[in-house]
Formats: sequence, structure tokens, C-alpha cells
Amino acid sequence: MTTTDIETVVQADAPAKRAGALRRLLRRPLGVMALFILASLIVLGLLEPVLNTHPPTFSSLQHVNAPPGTPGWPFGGDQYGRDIWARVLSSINVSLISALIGAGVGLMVGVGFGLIAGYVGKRTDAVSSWVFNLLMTFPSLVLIIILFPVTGGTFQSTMVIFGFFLAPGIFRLVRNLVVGVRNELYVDAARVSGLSNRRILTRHVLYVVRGPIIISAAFLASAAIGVQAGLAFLGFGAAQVSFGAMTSDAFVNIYSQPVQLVWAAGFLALLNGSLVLLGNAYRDALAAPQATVKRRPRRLLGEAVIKPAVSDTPSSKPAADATSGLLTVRNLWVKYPQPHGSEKAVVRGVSLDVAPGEIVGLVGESGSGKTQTAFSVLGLLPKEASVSADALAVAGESLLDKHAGAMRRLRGSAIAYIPQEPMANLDPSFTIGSQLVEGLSAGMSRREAKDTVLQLLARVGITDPVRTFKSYPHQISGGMAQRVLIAGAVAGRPKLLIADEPTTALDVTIQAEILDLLRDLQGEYGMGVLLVTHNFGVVADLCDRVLVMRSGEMVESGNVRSIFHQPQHPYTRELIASILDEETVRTDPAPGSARTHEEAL
Amino acid sequence: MRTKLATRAAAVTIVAAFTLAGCSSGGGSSQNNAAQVDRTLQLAITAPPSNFSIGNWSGGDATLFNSVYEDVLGFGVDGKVEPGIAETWEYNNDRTQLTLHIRKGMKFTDDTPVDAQAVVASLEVARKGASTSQNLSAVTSVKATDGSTVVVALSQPDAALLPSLASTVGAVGATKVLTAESSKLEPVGSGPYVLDKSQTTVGSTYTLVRNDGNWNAKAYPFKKVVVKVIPDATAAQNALRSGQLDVLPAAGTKETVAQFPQSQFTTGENKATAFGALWIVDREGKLVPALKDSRVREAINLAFDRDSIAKNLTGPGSAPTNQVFSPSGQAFSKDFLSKTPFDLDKARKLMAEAGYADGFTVTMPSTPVSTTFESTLTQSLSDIGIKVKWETVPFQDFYPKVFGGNYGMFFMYNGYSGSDAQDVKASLSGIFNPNQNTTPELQKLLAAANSASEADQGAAFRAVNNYLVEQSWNAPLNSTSGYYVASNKVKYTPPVSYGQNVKPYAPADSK
Amino acid sequence: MIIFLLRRIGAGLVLIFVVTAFTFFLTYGANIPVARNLLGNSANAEQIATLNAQLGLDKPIFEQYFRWLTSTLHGDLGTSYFTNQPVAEALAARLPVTLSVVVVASIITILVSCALGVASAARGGIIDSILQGISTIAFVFPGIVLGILLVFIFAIQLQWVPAIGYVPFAESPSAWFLSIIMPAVVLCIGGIAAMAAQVRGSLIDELGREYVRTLRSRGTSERSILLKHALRNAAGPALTTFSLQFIGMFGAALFIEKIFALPGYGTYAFNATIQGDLPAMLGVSLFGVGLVVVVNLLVDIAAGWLNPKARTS
Repeated sequence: MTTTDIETVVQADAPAKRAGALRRLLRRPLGVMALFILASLIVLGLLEPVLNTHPPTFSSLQHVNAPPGTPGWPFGGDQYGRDIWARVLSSINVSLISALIGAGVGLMVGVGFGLIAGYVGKRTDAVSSWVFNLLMTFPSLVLIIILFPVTGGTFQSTMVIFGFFLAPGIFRLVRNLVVGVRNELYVDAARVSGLSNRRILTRHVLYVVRGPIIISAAFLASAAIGVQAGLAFLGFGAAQVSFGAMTSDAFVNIYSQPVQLVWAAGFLALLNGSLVLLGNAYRDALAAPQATVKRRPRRLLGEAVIKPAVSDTPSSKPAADATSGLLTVRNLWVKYPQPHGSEKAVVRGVSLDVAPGEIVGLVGESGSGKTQTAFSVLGLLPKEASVSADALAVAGESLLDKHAGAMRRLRGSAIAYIPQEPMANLDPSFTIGSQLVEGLSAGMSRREAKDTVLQLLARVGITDPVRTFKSYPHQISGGMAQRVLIAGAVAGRPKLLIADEPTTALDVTIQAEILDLLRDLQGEYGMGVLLVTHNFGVVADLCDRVLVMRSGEMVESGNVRSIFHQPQHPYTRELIASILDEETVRTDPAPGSARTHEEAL
Repeated sequence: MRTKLATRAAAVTIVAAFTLAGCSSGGGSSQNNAAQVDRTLQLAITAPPSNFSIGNWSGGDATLFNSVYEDVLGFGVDGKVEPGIAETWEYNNDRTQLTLHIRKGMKFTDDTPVDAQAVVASLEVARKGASTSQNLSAVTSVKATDGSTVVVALSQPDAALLPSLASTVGAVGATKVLTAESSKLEPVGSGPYVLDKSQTTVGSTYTLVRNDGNWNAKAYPFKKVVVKVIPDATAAQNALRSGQLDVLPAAGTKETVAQFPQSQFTTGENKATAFGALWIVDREGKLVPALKDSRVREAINLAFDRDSIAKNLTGPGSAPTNQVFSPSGQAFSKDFLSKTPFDLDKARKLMAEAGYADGFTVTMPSTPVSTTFESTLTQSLSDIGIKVKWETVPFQDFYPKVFGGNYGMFFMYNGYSGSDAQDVKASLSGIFNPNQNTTPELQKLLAAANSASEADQGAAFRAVNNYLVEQSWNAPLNSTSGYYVASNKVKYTPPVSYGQNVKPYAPADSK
Repeated sequence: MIIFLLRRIGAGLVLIFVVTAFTFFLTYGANIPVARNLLGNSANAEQIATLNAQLGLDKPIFEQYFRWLTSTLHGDLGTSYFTNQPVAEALAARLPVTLSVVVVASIITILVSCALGVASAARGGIIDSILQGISTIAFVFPGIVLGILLVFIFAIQLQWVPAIGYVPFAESPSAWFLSIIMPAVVLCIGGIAAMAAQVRGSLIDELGREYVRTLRSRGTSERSILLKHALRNAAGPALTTFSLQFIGMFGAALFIEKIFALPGYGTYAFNATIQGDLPAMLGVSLFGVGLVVVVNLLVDIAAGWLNPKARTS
């Protein structure tokens, strides 16, 4: 179980989420404001024939530099006696048309080829990726200017060309998204059920990728508007009424009529700003539903603080004896906010104990809440989780309401953690040695720390500690990486070790070695171990006691022998029965595909 | 107005091309400033000079060109021709032969002598040069009769010849490099300044250092002149404000220059520099039959409220005009303005008489220069039933389109040259008269004017002017002068035609 | 790595070839009346024909292209029709101006956007919103307005910096800096917003990765996680964004050069286009795409250096 699972717990299925995203967008003040401004500007543009007081090129000799508020000239006249209000309206339309053409061409080309390249793959993908990468590096503005004599100078044709230069970004986005969803189940299912490629692309794939496309469209539109205005400001197509031409006129007049710059620049900024804000707000609405649900301060760093339980959360079991053991958990609840405002509990009133020197297995399927329980103890749940318990203590020290600094000190010493995916849990940019030394350097000199790390590496069974010390994570094998992580975990001589599926990602031959190593170290250091696993075989091999979880609740607990021989709960029986056929039990999605999916969103 | 438009880089290119390279000098103000030897003058031009080679000067601000080359003759501030390389000159009786007496002892900056042969060599190049050949079209031969006498023979009298020789057309360069490739960027002349290559970055900064060997070097008080290329008007104003420029001869409108604090800057109105006109080029009615009828052309002239255009559209620093001659010259007449009053009733009547009571449609090119006037032109012409369709023309295509006979009429500016003869010549040639229309009456009047003595020229060209106005040859609308701003360190005397040389500039404490 | 770089260089050369060929055929094929524009109003048809022949514009387009290609391969980009300066020389004189501004703007962009991105990712909440708001405003706030404001305050009122123009570094480093600092500041505003958002996004991505949780489980400080581990790993994607930013700034320099009257690449490109100066236009496109290729190559090298996998293989 990885963070992916947390995401899947938090997020509902794709279509529901999408509908929610729009609604959530409307709950964001910035989003609403941007939408309102944009809509108003569009309406202003559409109503130009009704609203404008004069044609945009009409000039009245009596109204040269007329002040704003002159009757019939709401924004005044410019240096040629033209009606600024009428020109603003007309410019809005020019900008919107630029946006439509620029973003439209960019989207059509980018999405079209992106879908094809991502879905078909192979050669098509390689060739189109190459072409679009080429296009991406074109110095677009320079080329557009160079080609100005060729395009005839109309802003429409310029925007068509610019659209092509906008396409690569979209192409990449769509292609990557499509590659991500291509292998997902529902596409496979669609393929199996005989849908044509075109229908799969439009029905399924396009459906999934449309969120990011909408966001990009906002930015593309703003880019197109900016470029059109910029070129007009420089004098390309100056005869066309546009914000660029208006800005240029106002720039000339800046010292005598500074207010004229306000209209042109202001409306341009409003238009662009609303597009960008809308894109940002929509992206945030898609990416972080919880932020809109609960208006609590969002700190992206740090973790959830464990709260003492309040009376309205009923214990599933009566509060047990005092906090005498190494780890004591009583009535633990973990909840995540949902898009529609409610909360979903993924751990429901769990209580457990680990005695010093005891190895306790925490068993359950994916989504049973076992990892959530373990992370609660580590204090490593994401900050949007709300965690509460009647009691949660490690070595007699209560973790309730403990602030981040104290938790960190505790994690450095009393509690340690061994993850499931060894590779993903090492920082790829730093050497093994520097990562391990960093955890130690608080209490000792760098030299001592290095010696300690080398000893530890040797202790966990690495044959050439010096070389491994200097290696980067990608240079060592998965088994070695897991040994490194074990070394890192035990470096602080913890009292409680939490191991989250420590062998699942490893080869079968290495699994046994790692389990042996864990057992040895446990004995040597006298640690208590909470071993999170879905595998009863591992439990039988290693554990003293076992706890079985399902749907966030503890269904059974007892010592390994008794549970194996007399499982009380049918679920436990099911799990035990499946030891023989390990693969069928494992229902966790393949980490790779799930991860891509998460990134895609 | 012209200057305001010129702020757009695009407009600059076109307007500059039409500003004929007249040559004028504010000589009077700078004669006695020889004491100020170490001053530096900082000026701006809107576009870099393309080419210093003789015969290929493509128009625009000629300050650099005329500073490096000494011309055969020079211009006075009042439009009078003054001595240059030629100390004196005289025509024969029928004004078909001009004798130039070359100043003795002058040298080019490469130390070769400036003699009659050198003058002949340069004028021969100019006779073939793309940008000068037309000015010298009446010349049949140029001969040196001795080391200091040059005789220019003409096929017919040409009153524009002397002003031409006082402008870039009359530039004299070192014979060896006249047509050499190097002359394009490294001119060798005998003018009051030398282009200092080490302090010059082609396209952005040009530095002139005084040539103390020039015969008139004492008239140039600045030791060094730095000319920066600043296409953007606001950037140029900023440069002037921050002390990086000394003068902006064409700073803009009265309103613009009023923004400069009086404690640090002097401002004032220029002499008329250019005029905007609706050029009615299809006088034969090939494309727009109606334009053949002089009644239609007159109606067009009557449809414009020139006073209002000058007062409101182009503002202070501009004046109504219906003539192609400069208000500073002798041919111009204020009285002629009453020949084309703003009279829509009469205009409509004329249209009806000509058989165009319902009007007609005409297509005109929309250029960066015309945008200001487009709505006024559209409205005025629609008042007499003429519908205008504007066609946006990239300005690279403007010349070919006009020459190709694509337009019956169009709006464009033309610069005043400082000479009546040159002004009328320009307005009857090139794109302003692509079909080379003429009439026997006009030919007669022109011939008379060209062969008139200096004393009679003014009246003779006024007769040409009168004919053009009465025939509604074109529809000039508005002459502009604009305003200058000078820092208090420099005294600026607006010349008849600006941007010709550094003579209008002098240190402020010199007088 | 070497092979990778060679392949990128090869791809870059192909790009240069494609872009210039594309530009050539579009511009030379557009029948721009060069000779007429060069000679102006008064030239006659014969003079125009002569000039066209001199410039070789009367030849078939493929022959013209071949001639251009051969002389370009020999390092001769031709001579500008309108300034009569060799194009290569002109661009060589103008690139330092634009590069000075863009490089200084880049340095400011990197420093400020990293700081903003980190602060925004770390603090979140209200600070994040404020920073986002500021960057959005900066993004949409027209640079020229800011430019005008800066010129008015610092060049005209305080006279700390020149209002226009460029001083070469060799002439006076301090004057050089003063002459480009304002253009650079104006130029980097939009870039900072985009870069800060990218840095923030990448950092948040990195902070969500498993190794960060493991680092936390060992009691690593938040400061070290953010500034050492996450920032280092976020540098890769940020670098890619930066390379696009750099190219974008090169284009945007056009507007800045107008306001500050800088004799740079942008004004040259502008004039070349406006006049239909074919050799100059081709030179501009060659230098432009060449610069893009070089920048991308440098970014590839930097990215390789940042990525231990690429570095150690």
C-alpha cells in the first residue's frame, strides 16, 4: 500500500470527480471572480454593436483627447479623436478572436496528434514526438515577425501560425495522459468489447484527459491574446483596432494623457488575468479537492496532528487497560474529507498494543486501513487527514496533540519505519551514504556518522559497504536498497519498528533473507515490531501475534498459533486459505499503473 | 501630426522616404560660436541611414550625410542657396548652362584635393544614382573646363537644380572611393565632420568628429556630435528628459512638449515640415472614371473642412493648406485657400453636374500614415456620395501597388524640401503622379517658372500653384510643423526643413 | 552522455536547416518588392531591374537558395539591403545587447522564482495565495506599463540609470549594468511568475514522493527535506521550464528593446521585417534558431549533470 491508495481513497471515480471539479471551481472566490470577469468581457464583446457609441475607427475632431465621461464618449477620446470605449469593445473582440484562433488551432493540432501518438504509440508516437519537440524549440515570435510580410499582416492569419507554435505543449500533455490511461482497465475493457479505436479515443480517453486540456486552453488563450497585443504594440498590424494598437497609441501619449494607457492596459490585464486565474483555479479545484471542502490552513509541509477523540465518535471497543506496553492505540479514527463535504473514515476505532520485543503482524487486504493505522503511529499521514484517538502512546509517551518538532524527534529515535518500495524511498539525487549520514549527523560528527553508517551497512549484510556508501540509488539492486533502508531505520536504535510490507516488492529469494535480517535485528536491538502485511505466510514466519483488519476495523486478534488453528472470523479464514495461492490474494493494483494515473490527475 | 505619426516605426520608413533631401542651414546663429570647441551635441534619428554612398541616399534625416559630405552648394535658413564647394556660380542667359567656380585649396579627409574633376566625378555618379538621377534629369553634361571651373549643361532650364546641388544630390566625395563598396558605410568627403568609426555602431550610434580642415569649420561649434538611433518617440522623450539627448527637433504636439519642465527645456514651434494630401492620381479616369472630371476633383476639394482638421485632428502645430508648396516659400499664397472653401452644397452640385449625383465607390490603401485621416476622409467623402473602401496594404507593397495603378487616389504625406521648384517637381513625379499626367498649360507654366530669373521665380511658381489649385490637381489638406524641445544647454533654431545638418544647433551660452 | 549530446547537436543542426529553409522559401518566395523599396519613389523601372539583377533576385528561387546556403556555410550571411552592413557582423554586434539583458533577467528570474516557489510550497495557505495573486498580476500586468514607471522613477526623476541605450561591458562594467538592469527587471516579471509556479508545482510533487516520507520517518528536518532533497529533485523540471522561459524572454526582448531603445537583436529583427530586408531576416532566423539549439544543448548538459543517472553512466 502506497500513497496511491490514499489518493484513491480520497478521490472518487473520475467522472464524479470531474463534475465536482466544476462545482468546486464555483465555490472558489477567485474562480467565480475570474469566470464573472471573463463572462462580462465576452458579453461586452458580443454586444459591441449595441453598446458602442461610435464605430471604433470613427474620429471626431472635436473629441481629440476628450476626457473620460464626455457625453457619448464614456472613456473619452484618444489622440485622434476616436472613441476609446468603442475601441475597447472592438479590441475585446479582436482579443477573443485571437484567443479562439490561437488556442483553437493549438488545441486541435495538439490534441489530435497527442491522442493519436499516445494511443497508437510506437513509430507514430516517435515521429510525432520528434516533430513536436522540433516545433517547441522554434523561436516562434521571431518567426512570426519574420513571416509577417508573408501572412499579409492580418491578426487572424498570424494567430493561425501562432496556434501551431502553441500545439507542442498540448501535444505533450495529451500524449502523456493518453499513454497513462491507455493501459488502464476500462480502455482494455472497451477494446475487448470491440469498440473502434476512434470511439475509444473520443469516448474514454478524451473524457479522462479533458480536465488538463481545459486548463491549458485558458493559458493558451491568454498567450495568444498577449502575442497579438504585443505584435500590435510593436506596430505589426497597427491599422487593426486592438489592445496592442491602443497601448501603442497611449504609450506615445503617456506624458500628456496617462489615463489613456489605463483603458488599454487595464482591459487587457483584466482579460488575461481572468483567463489565467480561471485556469489556476480550475487546476487547483481538480488537484486539491480537500482545500475547498475545509477552509483550514493548508500547510503543504508537515503532517496531520493526532487529536484526542471527542465524545461523538463511538469506540468500537471499550477503552482498554492503561498504557503499559511499547505501543498503545485506543479507538483510533482516520478520516478524509470528501469532495461533497462529508468525511470518509478509513480507520474506524482501532485499538492495538505492541509489547517491547514483540513482533505483531497487522494483516488485511488493500484498503483495510492497515497502512493508515501504521502511518498514524508514525505521525506521517498527510495533513488533510483528521486523526483522533482515545489514546496513542509509544514507550509511554503520548502522541496525542504532539507538535511536529516533537514528533520528528520521536521518529528519529523511538520509532522507525521500513517502507515497501525500496527504490522509491531513496532520494535519487543523493548518494546512499549522504542520505544515511543525514539521519545521524544530529548527535555526532560527520566522521563518526560515516563510520556508524559503514558499520550499519555491513551489519545489514552489504558486502562492500564503502562502495555502496558512495553509490547512487539507481546503482544498487532492490534487495540492497531494502537493506539500506533497514540500516537507515535501525540507525537511531528505535524501540518500535514499523515495517510496511517490507518484502512485497522484492524477489522471492531475497524476501527470505530480508525477513531473516529483520528477525536478527529485532532480537539484537530488542525492538518491538509492527509488521504491516497482506501475507499470512510472512506472519507465520515472523510474528508473535497477529491483528486482522478489514474495512478500517479490527476483526480479529490473537497469537499466531491460535489464529492459524482457530480463525474466528470468516475473513481471517479466507486470508489464511489463500496463503497457498499468494498471487490471487494480492489485489493491490500494480504500483506502476496506479502511479501514472495519479500523476495524470 | 507628421511627427506624431512618425513615431510608429512603420510610418517613419515611409514618411522619411518622402522627405526630400533638401538642404538648409541655420548658419546665422552659429557663425560666431567658434569658441565652443569641446562641446558634444547629442541628437537622435528615428531610423539608421542605409547608405552613405553618393547617388544612393534613400531619404530621411540627412544630418549625418550632409555633415560628412560638403555639397556643391549650401542652403540658407531662409531657403536661399549659399556657397559650398562652389564659391560662386552663374547661369547663362537662357539658364541652360550653369558655371560653378570651385573653392581652391580644399581637401577630402583622405588628403586628395577637392577640385573641378572631383566635383564632375561625383555629379556624374549622382546623374546615374537611383535616388538622384531624377533630380539631375535636365542635366546633359558636366564638364571641368579647368581645375576650378565646372560647367553644367542643361537640356532645359530647371529651377530645382540649384537647391538640388545644395542638398544630398550635390554631395561631393573622394573620387577613389565614390562607387566603392566601402563608401556605403565609410564615406570620405570634405564636410564639416568625419564619421568616427571607432565610436560608431552601425544601426545604433553614429559619432561625428569635427573636420577642422573644412573651409567653414568655424561655423560648427560642436567638436563632437553623437547621433543615436531611437525609433520610439517615447523612448526619445525619455532620453531627452534624462539628459541623454540635447534636442528633439520633432518632439510632437504642443501638448507633448508642454510636459517638459520649463526650467530645463526650451520648446517652440517648427517651420512647416510636411503636408498631408489626398493625391488624386487617376486623372485619366482609367480606374475611377469620375476622377477624370475636374468638377469631381473640385467637389472632393470642397468636401473637406480643412480648418477643422487642422484645429482638431492635427492640432496646434499644423495649418490648413490646399497647396503642394511650402508656406515658407514664395509660391505659397494664403489667398488661394479661399479657392477651396468647405462647401458641401456646391460640392454636391458639382458632383451632380458631372453626372455623379449618386456618387461612386473608390478603393484607397490603408497605411500606417493614413490611419489618422481615414475616418475623416471616409466621412467627408461620403458627404458628397463617394464611398471609400479601405484596403490594408503592407507598406512594402505600397509603392508597387500605387505604380501598378491599383488606386485612383490615396492619402500620403510629403515633406517640404525648402525649395518651391523641388516641391512642385516632387508632387508631379513618382507615386504622386504615377501616370505622369500633365497638360500643355501646366508645361508652359512650369517652363516659364524654371527659366525665370531668381527675382521672378516666386511669382512664376505661384502661377503654377494657382493652376494646380484651380484644376484641383490633388487635394492637399494640412501642413504640419510640430514642436521641438531643446535642453537649456543647446539653442535650436528651427530651419526651413529639419533634419538636414547640425547648423541649427548651437551651445545655449553662445549668444 | 557524449552520444546523447552528439545526437542532440545533430537534431539541432537539422532544426536550423529546416527553419532557415522554411523562412527562406516563404520570404524570398513572397515577392517582396525589395528593389522598389530600396530605391524609393523616384527610381525608374530600369534602375529597379538593374538592382534586382545586382541582388540576384531575378534568379530562380532554388538557385538563390543554393547560393544563400553555400555562402552561409562559408560563414557569409550576406549584406543587409537597407543598412549595407554584413548581416553576421550586425548580429554579432547586437546579440551581446540582447543576451546581456536576457542573461541578467534569467539570473534574477532563477533567484527570485526559486525563493518564491519554495516559500509558496512550504508555507502554503495565505502566503501561497498572496504569492499566486502577485504572480498572476505580474503575469498579466503589461510590461510596458512597468517599464514606463521604472524609467520615470529611476531614469528621469532619480537619474540613477540611463533611460535608453546600451553601454558595452568592455567599456564600463558598471555602466553596462546600469544600462541593462531596468530592461532586465521588466523582462523577467512574467517569467518569474511562470517559473515560481513551476518550482512550486515540482516541489509539491517531490514532497509527495515516498522518499520524502522515509526521510521524515528518520527525523530529517523539514528544512533539509525542502531545501536539500525536494529542491534538488525539482530542479530538473524547473530547468526545462527555464529553457523555454529563456527562449520566451529572447522573443519578449523585442518589446523591451523598443521601450529602452536598445540596439539589440529584437530591434534588428523588427527593422529587417518591416523593411523586407531578406538577408537580414534570414540571418535573424538563423541566429534565433541557432541560439535556441545552443540553449537547449546547455540545458541538456545541465540536466544531465543534475541527474546522477545520466552523470554516472
